[in-house]
Amino acid sequence: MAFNLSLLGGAAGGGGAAYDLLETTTLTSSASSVIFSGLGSYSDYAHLQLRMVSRSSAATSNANINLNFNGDTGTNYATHDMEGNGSSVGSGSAASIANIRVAQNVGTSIADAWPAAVIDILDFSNSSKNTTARALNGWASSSIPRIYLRSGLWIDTSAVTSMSFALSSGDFIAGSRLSLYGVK
Amino acid sequence: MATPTYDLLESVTLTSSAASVTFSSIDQSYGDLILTLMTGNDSGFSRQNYVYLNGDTGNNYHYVAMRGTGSVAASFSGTDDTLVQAGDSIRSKNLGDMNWVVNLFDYSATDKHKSVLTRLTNLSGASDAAAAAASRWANTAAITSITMAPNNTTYSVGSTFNLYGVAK
Repeated sequence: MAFNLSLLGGAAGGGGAAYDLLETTTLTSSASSVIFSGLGSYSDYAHLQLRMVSRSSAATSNANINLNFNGDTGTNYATHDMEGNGSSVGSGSAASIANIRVAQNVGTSIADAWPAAVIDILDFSNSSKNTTARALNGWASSSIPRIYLRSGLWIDTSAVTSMSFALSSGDFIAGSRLSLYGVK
Repeated sequence: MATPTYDLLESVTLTSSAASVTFSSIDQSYGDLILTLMTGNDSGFSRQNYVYLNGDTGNNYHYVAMRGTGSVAASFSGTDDTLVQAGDSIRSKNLGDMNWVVNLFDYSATDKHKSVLTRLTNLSGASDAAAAAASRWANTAAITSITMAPNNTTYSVGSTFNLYGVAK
């Protein structure tokens, strides 16, 4: 039985399915980035949601997961975040940067944890608004655990036709999964 | 080709108080699970809401959480815990229910520890809080059952528990 849902897990009955799996990439070998292209064909959806479980190949305890739209690597992005580290809550921001730091990841410095993220990209096909994204992200490790709420802005009113996810340190390792959903 | 993918697997609305609720024999064909809870308890006090996977009550859970109360933001964590800790207590029924949305990723995988992300909110009107948490079950087994139980009390009548499968 398929149900409608609102973003981040709220569900409502009635009507046809409104939350559809569009594409999934499950890595069988490491990859420096994962790109979803041809998103213009999904313009009958209002929003996109990406659900991700991944790790980095690098010896890092905290790598950025960077999001670029439409191949734009100019300094046209901004990011805000709120972070809990187990003892305190902090907040940060960055503007005029070359990507949205949409989530964080870990590598071999943190054993066993597979950081997860739920990322919403709102009104992605609208051509009169700058594009925004928000994310719930985190991992629980014996050392250096993190929980994040993040948001990002692409200062461009173009419809989003592609999204690229890459790490600031290392590659996504085999077993990492990125699933893209459309929300009507 | 788009695939309809957000399916209700199980739903419980309590018509009498219950010490626990278990979803068992969970369909293994989805990528993720989403669990929603709207719960109160019968104690008259705040109580922790325990979640166990596959009946495991060993010291195999880790968590980190943050919450904001309107005046204070705090973060806390735990390792080798005995439950999936979502970072706050459920409220007693007379103080208002508490809602949870719990995401369990790659739950049917057998090659990785299980990652859980939770958003939760107290709706008490007093001691309100918004919170988020990340948890890990240090076990590579596929999740086949989820048990939810309030600490040393019972869930109150009207508490709701819904489990959804999200295709991958």
